[in-house]
Amino acid sequence: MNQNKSGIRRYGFLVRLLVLSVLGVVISLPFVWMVSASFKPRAEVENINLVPIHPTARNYPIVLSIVPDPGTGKFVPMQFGRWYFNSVFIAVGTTLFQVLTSALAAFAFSRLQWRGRDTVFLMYLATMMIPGVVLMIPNYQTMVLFHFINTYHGLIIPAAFSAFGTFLLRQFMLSISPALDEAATIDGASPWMIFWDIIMPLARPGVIALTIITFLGAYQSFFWPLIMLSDSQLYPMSVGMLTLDSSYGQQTELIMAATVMNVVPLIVIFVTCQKFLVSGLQLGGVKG
Amino acid sequence: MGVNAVGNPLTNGRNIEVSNSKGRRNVRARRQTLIAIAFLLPNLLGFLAFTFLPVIFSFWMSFTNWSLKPAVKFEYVGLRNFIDLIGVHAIGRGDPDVLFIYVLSIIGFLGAGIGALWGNIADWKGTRLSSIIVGIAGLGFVVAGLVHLSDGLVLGGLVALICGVAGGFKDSEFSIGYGVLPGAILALTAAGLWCFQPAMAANYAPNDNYFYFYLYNTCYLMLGIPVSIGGSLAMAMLLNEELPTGPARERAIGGITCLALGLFLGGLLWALGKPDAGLICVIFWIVAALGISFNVVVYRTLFYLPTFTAGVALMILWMALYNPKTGPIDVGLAAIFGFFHIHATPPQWLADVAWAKSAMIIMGVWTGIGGTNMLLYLAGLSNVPKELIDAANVDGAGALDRFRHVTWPQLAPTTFFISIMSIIGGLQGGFDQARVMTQGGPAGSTTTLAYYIYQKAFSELDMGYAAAISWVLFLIVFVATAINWKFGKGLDSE
Amino acid sequence: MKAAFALVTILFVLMYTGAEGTLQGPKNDGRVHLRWATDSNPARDVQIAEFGKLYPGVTAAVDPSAGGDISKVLIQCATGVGPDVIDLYGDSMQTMADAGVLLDLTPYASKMGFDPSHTYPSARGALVYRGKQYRFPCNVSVNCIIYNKQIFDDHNVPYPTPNWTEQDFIRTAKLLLNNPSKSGHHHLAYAPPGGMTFYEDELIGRGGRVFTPDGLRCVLDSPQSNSALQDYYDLMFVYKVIPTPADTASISSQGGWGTGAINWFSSGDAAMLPIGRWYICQLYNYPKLEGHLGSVLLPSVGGLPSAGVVSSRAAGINVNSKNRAAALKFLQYLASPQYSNVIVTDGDALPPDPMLAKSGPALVDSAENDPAFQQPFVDAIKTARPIDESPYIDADVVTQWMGDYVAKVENRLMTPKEALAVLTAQVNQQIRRNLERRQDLQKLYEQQTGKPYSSNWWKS
Repeated sequence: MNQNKSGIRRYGFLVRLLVLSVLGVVISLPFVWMVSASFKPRAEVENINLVPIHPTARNYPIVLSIVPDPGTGKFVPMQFGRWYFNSVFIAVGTTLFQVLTSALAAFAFSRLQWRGRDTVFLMYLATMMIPGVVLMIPNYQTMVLFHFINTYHGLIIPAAFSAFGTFLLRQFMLSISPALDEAATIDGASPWMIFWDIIMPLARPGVIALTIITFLGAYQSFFWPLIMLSDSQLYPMSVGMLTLDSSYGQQTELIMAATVMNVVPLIVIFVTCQKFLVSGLQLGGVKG
Repeated sequence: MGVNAVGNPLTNGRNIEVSNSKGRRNVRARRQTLIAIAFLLPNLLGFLAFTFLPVIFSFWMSFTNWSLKPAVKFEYVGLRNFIDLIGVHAIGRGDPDVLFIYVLSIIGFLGAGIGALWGNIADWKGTRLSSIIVGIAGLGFVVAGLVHLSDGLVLGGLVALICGVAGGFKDSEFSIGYGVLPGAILALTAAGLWCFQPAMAANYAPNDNYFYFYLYNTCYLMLGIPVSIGGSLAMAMLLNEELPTGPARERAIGGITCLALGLFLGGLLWALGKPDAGLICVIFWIVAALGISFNVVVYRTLFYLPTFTAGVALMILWMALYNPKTGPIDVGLAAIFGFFHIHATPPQWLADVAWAKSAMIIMGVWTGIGGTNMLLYLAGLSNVPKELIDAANVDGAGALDRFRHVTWPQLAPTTFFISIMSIIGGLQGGFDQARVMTQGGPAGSTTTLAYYIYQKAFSELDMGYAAAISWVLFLIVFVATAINWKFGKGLDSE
Repeated sequence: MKAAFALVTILFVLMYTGAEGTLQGPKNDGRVHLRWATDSNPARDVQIAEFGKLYPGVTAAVDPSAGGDISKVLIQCATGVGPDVIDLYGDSMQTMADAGVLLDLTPYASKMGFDPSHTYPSARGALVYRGKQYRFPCNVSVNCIIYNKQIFDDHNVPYPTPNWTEQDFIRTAKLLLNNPSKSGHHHLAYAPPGGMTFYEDELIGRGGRVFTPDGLRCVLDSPQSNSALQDYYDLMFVYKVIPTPADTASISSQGGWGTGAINWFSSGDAAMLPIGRWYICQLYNYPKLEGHLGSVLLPSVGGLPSAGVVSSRAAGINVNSKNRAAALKFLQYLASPQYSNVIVTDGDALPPDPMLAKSGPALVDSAENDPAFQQPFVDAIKTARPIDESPYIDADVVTQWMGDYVAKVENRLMTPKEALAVLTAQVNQQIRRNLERRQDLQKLYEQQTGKPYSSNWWKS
């Protein structure tokens, strides 16, 4: 019986391995094609072959404006380094503010009792169902009023407040036993100390999850920067990629080289940090 | 809490003269409120400035004709924007009787729909029969839609069919009761609406020629959601347990074997003049080697990659993939067709009215199948109590039964959360893809309501109308969420 | 936890100072810097350099942020951060002018030399909206058919004759499709430019219009319009000379000038392509085609002289621009022979100055030096007409609706007659609705017709 079971287990294991590997390959195929296209010369990009017949690494220096585009003899007017920096900077700023304010607010919604608490929270929730596009218009007018158009703070500040973040952290904090609060209060701790020294460490998985989700969202956001920015020095990568695509849409190999450079750092970051994201979501769980 | 005023840290040791505990509670309550405001203030300020007030503003805007064009004089127009959006106007004289019956049927249809769902949750007698009626009606509509080449009919019919099948397989008896009524009314009104459609179309035209079409687009694009959720669940279940690979030495041997095998086979294919197949072979065996060595972490990472790298860059990648002339999908399909001597041309994807939405759905499923939903399901699966599974095994349950009776119900809260978020996102979404990839698509076929709002606001500068569209959309999202919520709560209470 | 937050905060502050500190402000070299919202075609650099030479003290920089989407420029202008000089295509002028963001050029134009009389007669109407001039052309374009002589030789088909008709076109296309090819390659006779382009050219070629001259009624259900769309349908499904959307690669929506038709032609797969002279500035990408191209007017229809749509990329000025004087100088530059010369040598469609486009030899440029190739474009511009607009309805809405219905016909969801009937009714309904709701349009109605506005105006 035991032998049989281990035989089946082995068999099942092989099948699972096979299926998972096939799925892994299928999902990563577009990425493979992307990398391969970025190493192809102009004439070859339209062929199906995955492996370039005449591989060339020239597309990368072209996109980085190190080497002129052989077709026009001019440099591609891109500012990759700057755009990268902008993306990271805006994402860091947005995440920092969003996590901080959401954590503080979540604390107020979950650990403190005050009149109207649940009503205000319901308001937060309700606004999540409004299509974001329609909020853009009044927000844009506000930005114009404060002269925040075409500035970094104009990009970070409106994105720094999120009902979703508050919602997520509130759920995490609700799962922490209130007895801890009471004990700490008896011991003479102020709410500020309770927040920083007790609740936040316990809500860490949720905070990490929110950090990652917010960072990703801010990094990938393109519509708000698109309408806010006219100076190409302030573009994040997402907007930069858009302009690159509309100007050079025909030169697939250049576009793919740019895309690879956009995506690869994200992949590297993710592979190294993926432990945190998963553990954060697992520990907190989601309470319906 | 039984602490006296002096030692209470919240009063900072000051001696507060309070005459009764209620007074003390008031002081504490006020103190807590102040503290709460202090914590809440940064978030609340931002929320008010960038979310709440814009919401109010947009609500007010929807009742005006506000436009950025200086030539348009600002005035309040009441419900005119909404009537323009969802209303109809008479062609010629119109036929008020037809209109009346039609509107009545729509109300009956919607009411019966909600009633059917409610009855299903509340387990009224006869709901199983009701679901079967709905399912049969759905099937009929699908057939009719295919015959008459009407996408809307097919879509609606499919939804009804799925709901009917789902409800029909519930573990309740076949009985006759009030529960049958909603299903029967639903089928009747649907049939009636279909019969009255030509008469309506002949006498009335919608005020906004595009609203219902874009609503259809939005709903169509949500077809990928069940696939994506189901796929995520499947992935999560595949990844739930670690692969039983044994000690480090065995793993290393296994990994190196796979690697060597891959390089060998790949090199062989390369030498045989098929470098592409060789490359794919090498990649496959590398993935397998990594999987043996580092276990499910590798696959989790791989599957989550599309979600993590999502954004403009990936959309541009998919535009290149979908290119009808030079993209690998169509070139590959053409090669396959040629190989099997199939005389068909590959679809034009994003350039083809009939295929653009499907292209978006495929891209969406690829991105979402290994995404956050999968992680949430993994978390949910790890919370399934082992005792329940063991108990099921002891009772002799097979894998399917185990899934149906233990796993699936335990995952209900997760599924509930995921489905609500997906529906909210799906109804409001489609904007990014439309903006970057197709600008609304060939002949408006990939324009969703969110993109329509953008068009009205930023291209035609008709802010009032755009606000009206968004509030109608909000209403739809609200109703859908409320239904979903009730449904989920009902499942929870079982 | 606190440490992490503190660290990140410090990092953020550092990044912020770094970001703001390294922002390059407008270069302070004593010159006025204009922002020119146009596409980032490398040819712009030459045009800007020439501008700098003629007008020391001023220069321009390309602002590619529009990216083909005028709504972004519109929003920027409406909120005061728009560019100085704006490239406007076709229907964008009406949208921008209605939004009140374009400078009325009429007071300056004749003094500074860029009023409509300085460009082709056929292009003049498109510069003016409701009596005011808002833009001047950067280039003017009209479609001719360019053909690949090699493919014609390959299939042993005679080249198109200069004044060929629609019937000649069908005959030539069928020969190209049916004659055996010496090289064994199968070719497309005609690279599809897209339904809208074809339909519009056909409409103009038949003398059709979109609106009545007063703009009050849409006449897309006219016999000319019906015949034009029906022709498109027949060429596609009856004579099978134009590939259907389902048959071949159709319009790629990737940006820039990347239409699938150009790809088909440039890779030597299609024999004919309707396009403007601006194709020349792409020729450097396709060395195989050089020396083998011929061009001919669009086939004439119904005995009328061959005529196509004249379109132009024209520059207007942001009414809130802080560099108005410099921007006006830029427009003056556009009207100058030096600028037109740059356009001619670059091959970027036709120059705004008709004096430089008087004949084939005059247009010979760096990439295509066969005067016979240039001649049809010179002739075409004389008979070309723009697609007309109406002040009573947004032009881009009309374009969008037209595109939708043409797409329906292409996909055989409606017959041309049905599609045009529904389209016309839809446009007219919208015109009526606009008139009902906007008093400024009612005033315009009264000015135009001399009759007081009444809600039944359209019944008369």
